[in-house]
Amino acid sequence: MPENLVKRKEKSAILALSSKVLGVLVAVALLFALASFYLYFKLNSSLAKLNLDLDQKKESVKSLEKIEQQNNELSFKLEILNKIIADQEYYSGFLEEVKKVLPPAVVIDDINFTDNASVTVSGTALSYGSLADFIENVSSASEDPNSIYKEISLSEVTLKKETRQISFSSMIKLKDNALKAKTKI
Amino acid sequence: MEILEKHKIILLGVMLVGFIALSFFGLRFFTYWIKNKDSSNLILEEINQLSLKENSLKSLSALAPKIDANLRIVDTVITPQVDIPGFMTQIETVATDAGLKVDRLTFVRTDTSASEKVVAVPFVSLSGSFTGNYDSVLKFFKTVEGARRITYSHDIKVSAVVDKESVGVYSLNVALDGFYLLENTKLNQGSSGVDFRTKENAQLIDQISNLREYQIQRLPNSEMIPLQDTTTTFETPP
Repeated sequence: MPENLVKRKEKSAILALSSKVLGVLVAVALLFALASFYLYFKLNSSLAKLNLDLDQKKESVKSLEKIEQQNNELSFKLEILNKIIADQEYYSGFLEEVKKVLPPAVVIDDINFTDNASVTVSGTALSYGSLADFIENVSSASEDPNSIYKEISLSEVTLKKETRQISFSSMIKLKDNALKAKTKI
Repeated sequence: MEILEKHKIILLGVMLVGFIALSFFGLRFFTYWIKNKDSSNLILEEINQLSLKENSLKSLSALAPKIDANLRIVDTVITPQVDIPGFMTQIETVATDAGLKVDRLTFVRTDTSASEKVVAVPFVSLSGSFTGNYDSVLKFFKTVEGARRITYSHDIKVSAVVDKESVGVYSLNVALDGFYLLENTKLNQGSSGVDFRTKENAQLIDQISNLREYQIQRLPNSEMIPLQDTTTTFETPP
């Protein structure tokens, strides 16, 4: 076989193989391009739908936001209200307790709430016995765990010569948080 | 034969160009697709979050009338205005109802920063002087403590009136603070974590709504006395 013919045959074989390989590659590239194109357009259309959904949701949430604001406002105010109530002091309880322990022959002249831990109570007693009864009543009441009294101490006792009445001044110490409500409101 | 080979080579060239072009477009759409997929996932996530919020808001909106009613009740306890006349009316009515004579009731100040007590809420402070018997003083405090607009009493001094005709009469000096929270007060972002639907808060609101609310009595329009024009005009001499 002439050498020229052999070379030509080899060349045509190479060309045939190259065209086959390139043909496969083009087919794969075509498939890849078509698939990418399809996926891209499919996703694009679903994106448009998603954006529409998102806008609708935003609109819907916005229309309901007023109630959320009101709920937050109520929560905020309830929190403050609970704190205010917890910190409130109830003086009627003390005035009522004093009335209970006051013997008939003792009159209150002055009640001064110096702080929330102690109260200065001044008064007039017809006798030393009545004054002693008052002190005793407060002391025995303080033993009751539900009582607001902690202890009582006399700071001044004076006998008025003209009237034979005894004026006194006492300091009543209160238990911790005694003026705070035992039950809320 | 040579012509055929040339044609084959041209075809191969065309196929190569086609391959490159197709690969280029394929890659381009593929990268667009990946990018859009990311943003689509983000949108989906946002939609899911909004849906959750929407659902919780929808369940809340069913309670809208209750929230509104509760807010109106709470606003009578911590008023949305300073409302000094309203607070003074409350104290004066309480004192009169308790049998005390109001000797003096003065507006002292408003404190917008915070209460001197633990709670940091602005308050209006009044100073009052009243006279009456011990039971009236006791009733005054009981009523003030049970009034709808929460009132803190402090600097209390109860003294017997030294007068032969006034046996058993006491003079009461007291400072009274009422709270307010202006409508434009900036609320904490988001919920404070307090749920009004809890049993305790429902009880609290129930109890508050049973407390007495004091309101200013206004004169009806017909009783208003119109102001008269008292301007005198003088004729200027020619």
